[in-house]
Amino acid sequence: MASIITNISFKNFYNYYGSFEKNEYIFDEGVNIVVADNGNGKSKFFNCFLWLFKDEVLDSDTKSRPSIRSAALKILSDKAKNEVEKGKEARCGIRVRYKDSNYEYEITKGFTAKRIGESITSPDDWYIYIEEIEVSKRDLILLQYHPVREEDERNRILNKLIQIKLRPYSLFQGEEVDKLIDFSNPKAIKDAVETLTNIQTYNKLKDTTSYMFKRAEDSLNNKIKASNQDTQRFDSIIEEIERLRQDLEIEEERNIQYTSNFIEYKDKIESLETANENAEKRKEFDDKIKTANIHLNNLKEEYENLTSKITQRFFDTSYAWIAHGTSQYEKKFRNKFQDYNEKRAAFKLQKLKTEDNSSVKFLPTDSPDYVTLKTMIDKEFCYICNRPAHKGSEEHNHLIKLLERPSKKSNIEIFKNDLSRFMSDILMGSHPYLEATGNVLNTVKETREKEHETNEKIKVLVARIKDLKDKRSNLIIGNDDAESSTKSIMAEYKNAISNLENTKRQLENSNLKLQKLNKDLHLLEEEKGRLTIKNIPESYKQNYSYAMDLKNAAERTKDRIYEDMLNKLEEHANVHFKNLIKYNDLKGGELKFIKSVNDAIEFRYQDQNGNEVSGASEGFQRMKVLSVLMAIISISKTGYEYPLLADAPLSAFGQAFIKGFFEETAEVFPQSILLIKDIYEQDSKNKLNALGNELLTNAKVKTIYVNQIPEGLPQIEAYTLKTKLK
Amino acid sequence: MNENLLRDILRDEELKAKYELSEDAINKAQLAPPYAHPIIEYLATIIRASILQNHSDATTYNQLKNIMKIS
Repeated sequence: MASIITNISFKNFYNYYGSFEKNEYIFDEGVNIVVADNGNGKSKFFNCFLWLFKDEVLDSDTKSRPSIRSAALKILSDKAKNEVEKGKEARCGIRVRYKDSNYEYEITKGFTAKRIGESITSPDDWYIYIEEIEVSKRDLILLQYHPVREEDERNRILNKLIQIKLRPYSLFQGEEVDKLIDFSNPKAIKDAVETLTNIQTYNKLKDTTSYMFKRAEDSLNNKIKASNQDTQRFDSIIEEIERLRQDLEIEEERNIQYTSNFIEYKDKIESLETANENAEKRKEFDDKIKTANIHLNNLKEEYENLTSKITQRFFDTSYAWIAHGTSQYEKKFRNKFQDYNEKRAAFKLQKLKTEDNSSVKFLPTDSPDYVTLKTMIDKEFCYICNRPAHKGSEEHNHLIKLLERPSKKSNIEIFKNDLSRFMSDILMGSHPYLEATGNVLNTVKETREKEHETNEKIKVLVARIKDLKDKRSNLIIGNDDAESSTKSIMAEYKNAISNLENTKRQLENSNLKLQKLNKDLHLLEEEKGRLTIKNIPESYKQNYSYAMDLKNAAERTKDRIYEDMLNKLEEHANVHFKNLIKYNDLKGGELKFIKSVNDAIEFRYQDQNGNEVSGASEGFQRMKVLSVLMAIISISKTGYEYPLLADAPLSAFGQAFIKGFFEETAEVFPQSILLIKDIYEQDSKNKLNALGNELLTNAKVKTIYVNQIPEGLPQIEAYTLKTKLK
Repeated sequence: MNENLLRDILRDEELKAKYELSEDAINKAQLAPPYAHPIIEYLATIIRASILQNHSDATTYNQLKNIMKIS
């Protein structure tokens, strides 16, 4: 019969303040649940098991597992510590009762803390005395417990509750479930299978029968040598067998080496797989970034050209932006120009009419200038005629007349200050602009739109490049990412694949060689067994024959059982998986187990078409582990004989997963004690949510406790209250 | 459990054929006497000594020598 925990009780253990009797939880075969919100004593409850089996607890502050001695002051209830006077003692302890088919056992662990100072938290103010484990047992039909004094017997009783090697599979907290079986490591599943099933017994028997055969062979050989008979064929067979065995030994060594290389390369590939995948993706990103950068540069150049040419468009006759809004002035200008021309012509005519023609207006070329004339008047001498020109003389008066002739300037004002040409040039120059003015707004709009569009494209592209770079930076390809080059990772991965393929070929060839050598060896061994050598007692030959046949049968049986087990494992795991997720909307994939080298087991999670499924949720991942664990346990012919003790195993599950979990757990584990918050609901009258209330009526769920800490108490007064709902 | 081990080995096709072991004999095979066939006794001795009683290989072979009456 399996070990069933009937009772767990605490004394001043964390928030479980008070005596063992006050903090007693009674459990039964089947599913037992302790429900509590965060901080209401689930993990502290679980610490009872850690103390029981490992003499340590989980310190939730430091996430470490200190020994009981160093954590004692934290373990002892604050309320109890506070109530102890200086010089007095407080006791803390845990007590677990369990039964098998014949006995009930009681195991108690505890310590005494004596207060020697003021502080309730300083280890210097307390003296801790760890008490010896107390174990007692009683016959199930009797009432009285009897103490067990022998240490070996005590240990046996403790280990019988849960065997040491099985504790990782029977005792776990939260995410520890994920680590129970590492699916990426084929050896991990093999180890779990070997631990949880009796497959190792077949291995042991194979080794034992092999030894028996060697001894039987030696016995026979010695007898034959002692018989002094003509044993020519026998000797040659022995010689041949010896040679084959040497070859076999060499090949086996090679095979081990190839296997080791194979595993090494496989591990290497697995370790590089993500990095390589990331490196390949990185390369894709690099290519995309490169193309996007070229595109961005082109766009920037386009934008630069566009904005730098905007000034030109003011004066470019194709755009004529500067003339925008001036078209109405052309006519005015043209009219004014015409008016000007007319007025000027009239003015000129009038001027000419009123001109004093008696005076000299123009002098011939090389005539004396104003200064010379003035000098000549002052000197009263004409340098042109080279004769005197006395004041009052005709010559002198002529010089004065020349000097005072109408000015050149006034003539120029009348005849030379003509703006016609200037205005005409303006008219001519403005003509192409005026033709384009009607389209200025359109071209401005088009230019603005083009600028905006280009700018937007640049923004989008810059954002895309940033996004690509961000995504690229998330692709980790090595421990020291900066130094790990994408190319070298890809090359390393490629190299590992090539090595793996080569090793796989070597391994296959070696396996064939081993098969042939073994076959040849078996044939020779059989022939040796059939040889009739005189004076050799039949019993020696019979002994040899039995040992040889059983050795071979044990080898084949081990392989056969292993194959059967693998098939059953797959079948059971899929059944458990389907049941665990049956209340989920999502349909899960299939679990597949493939025999690998050295009996290691590869695990695959695939869809109906055989494609590997990845990226399943944390809940699904945990369900896979639990399915495989349950399968390994359930394929064992004897079943599982230990309770499942788990703290928050469902933390990653939704309600549908949780419902499936409770139902399936009851099928595999003879007893489970599950500490959970997932069915707790603060506002509910009984503190259970809908699923919790459903479980109250589920026959497989035997007990449900709800833990609560009374509201409003200071930490130093806090204690856990339990309510048994079922 | 160990009787299952005994029967699993006896179910090996080659062994079963060579020693003409019937299904009935295999299903009834036990680690304790009486034995339906000497090979069953031989194997039962190995399992009992090495797996059930955790004896060393040398001790187990000595027990085989006893039942085969060889020195």
